[in-house]
Amino acid sequence: MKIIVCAKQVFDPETPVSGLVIDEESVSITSRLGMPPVLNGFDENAIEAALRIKDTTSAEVTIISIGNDFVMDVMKKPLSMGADELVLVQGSEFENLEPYTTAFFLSCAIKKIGLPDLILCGRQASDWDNGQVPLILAELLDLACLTLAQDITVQSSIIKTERVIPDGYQILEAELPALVTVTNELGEPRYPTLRGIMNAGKKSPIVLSFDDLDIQSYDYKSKIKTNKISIPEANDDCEFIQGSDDQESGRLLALKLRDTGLI
Amino acid sequence: MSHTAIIIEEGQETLDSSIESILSLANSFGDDVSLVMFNSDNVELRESLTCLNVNQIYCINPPGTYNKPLPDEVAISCLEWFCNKNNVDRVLMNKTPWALNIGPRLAFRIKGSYAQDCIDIKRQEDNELVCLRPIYGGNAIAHVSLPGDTPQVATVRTTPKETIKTINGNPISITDLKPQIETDDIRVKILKTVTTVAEGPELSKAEIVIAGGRGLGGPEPFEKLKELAKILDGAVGASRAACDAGWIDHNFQIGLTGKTVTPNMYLTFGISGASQHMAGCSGSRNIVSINSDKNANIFKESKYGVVGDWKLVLPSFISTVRELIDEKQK
Repeated sequence: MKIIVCAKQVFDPETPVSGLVIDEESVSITSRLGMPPVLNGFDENAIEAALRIKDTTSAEVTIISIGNDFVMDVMKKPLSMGADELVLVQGSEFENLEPYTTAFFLSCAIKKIGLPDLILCGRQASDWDNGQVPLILAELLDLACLTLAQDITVQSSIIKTERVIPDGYQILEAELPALVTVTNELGEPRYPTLRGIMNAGKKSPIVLSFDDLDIQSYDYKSKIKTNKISIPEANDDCEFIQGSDDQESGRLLALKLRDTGLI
Repeated sequence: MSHTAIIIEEGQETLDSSIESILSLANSFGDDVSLVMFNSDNVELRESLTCLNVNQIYCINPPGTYNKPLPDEVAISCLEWFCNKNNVDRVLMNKTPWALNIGPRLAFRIKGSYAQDCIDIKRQEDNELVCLRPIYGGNAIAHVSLPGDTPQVATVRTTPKETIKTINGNPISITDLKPQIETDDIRVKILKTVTTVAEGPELSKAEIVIAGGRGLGGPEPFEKLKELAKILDGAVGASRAACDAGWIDHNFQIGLTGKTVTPNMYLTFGISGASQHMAGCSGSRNIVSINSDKNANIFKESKYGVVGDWKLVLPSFISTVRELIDEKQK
């Protein structure tokens, strides 16, 4: 079976707010510290989900990403984890896309390389947290859509997932082809192996440009517009409770909470 | 007059502050406002909605046997049918996992735009909506505009406000609807729903939440937090790092992709306060934090803080709290 995993390169979500710079002209954010980007964490969970299926079946896993400034060490990580191919949809046309447009171009690229049995996506990206691209992609490709999976099993042409819901889960079932969004409850992604890293080093990505996508219509007009990005103000008025040692601090804190009616 | 529809999640059985909070946002637009619920046998909710100050209340009864739990596809088709039939200009939903599954696809179907997890929305003269959305885990805010010439769909992060129940003198009657949609080819079936109920008050409704994070270093300290929760009649929560490490079940996860809590007091141990976590607890009225790093972000949001080793602070804190509570009950 063929699996495509959609992955996005993002700023390290651990970047402190002081490390973020707003570019007012392009209404986007860059990192002051020049920190290398990382793969979106939820996408790594999706890659792990694909590789677990590959562990038990003869699946072929292709990673696809869309953007312009790819850092190859970052984008090749899925290959070193065990994925088979990497497709980069690359060009200046693909910078700062809004979710609908991203999904539109991705759908074109996926049609171009061939519709797989299963598409896996992280539930959302840790930079813009839109959570829309996978769902719109499922609509554009007219696929069964199973969201927020913490577990996936595939048996012949039937897929079953456990979907995370508040205080539990649901078991969903659909026939392939399907699109599944994966959440962190699935578990930690595996580490690259030495052999994987060597294989990834030898492998070149397949690069698709705007012209390669055979876009017939101009149905990729942005639906939303980001006018501005601002940094919220932090209030900094914490009252610190300090005893002569930590034990006393604990005692004084309890008394403080009593005096202020919090307990 | 344009028309704002507030969609209430299938399965929600009571009127709560989330509905009132979205209603007060919708009323600020100055448009017609309708409430949309599912399943007429949801009697308690049905009754309680009629006292709210809205123009219309609709109850959608999905066809076939697919009503509880409602598959996403059926919900989306019903809402697509509803929006087209009633010329809905904008749709507002509480940001729940259900709404996040439905919203983007509904917006796509009705050829509209969508914004997720908005903390504020302003309606402009030309019907455009300007939505404020936290991005980069809450480190920045995007001001996103949804054009006014196509339908707009937004999910809203609600915080409990002291809303005045806008009691309507004459209760509004509810219009029951049976959407004409095809349900023969439902592709994703819900085979089973499994839920677990934790001891004590429900996390999202608790008045005191005691949360632990990466700094606790293992599963055992959460037993201590549970002990404290019992004394205070509170609920225990955790950061995503603690859940991903397997120290506590993911049902306790608080944050952007976990639960949202809005207690009177949010008491944290070993939580650094990454913005993704704060997204789930910043609606708390008072945050009180214990952390060994005096520069931890959590202190920027806290009312009271102790810089110290939780291993030493917690035992004396628990024993003093126990004494104070005992005293109070005497």
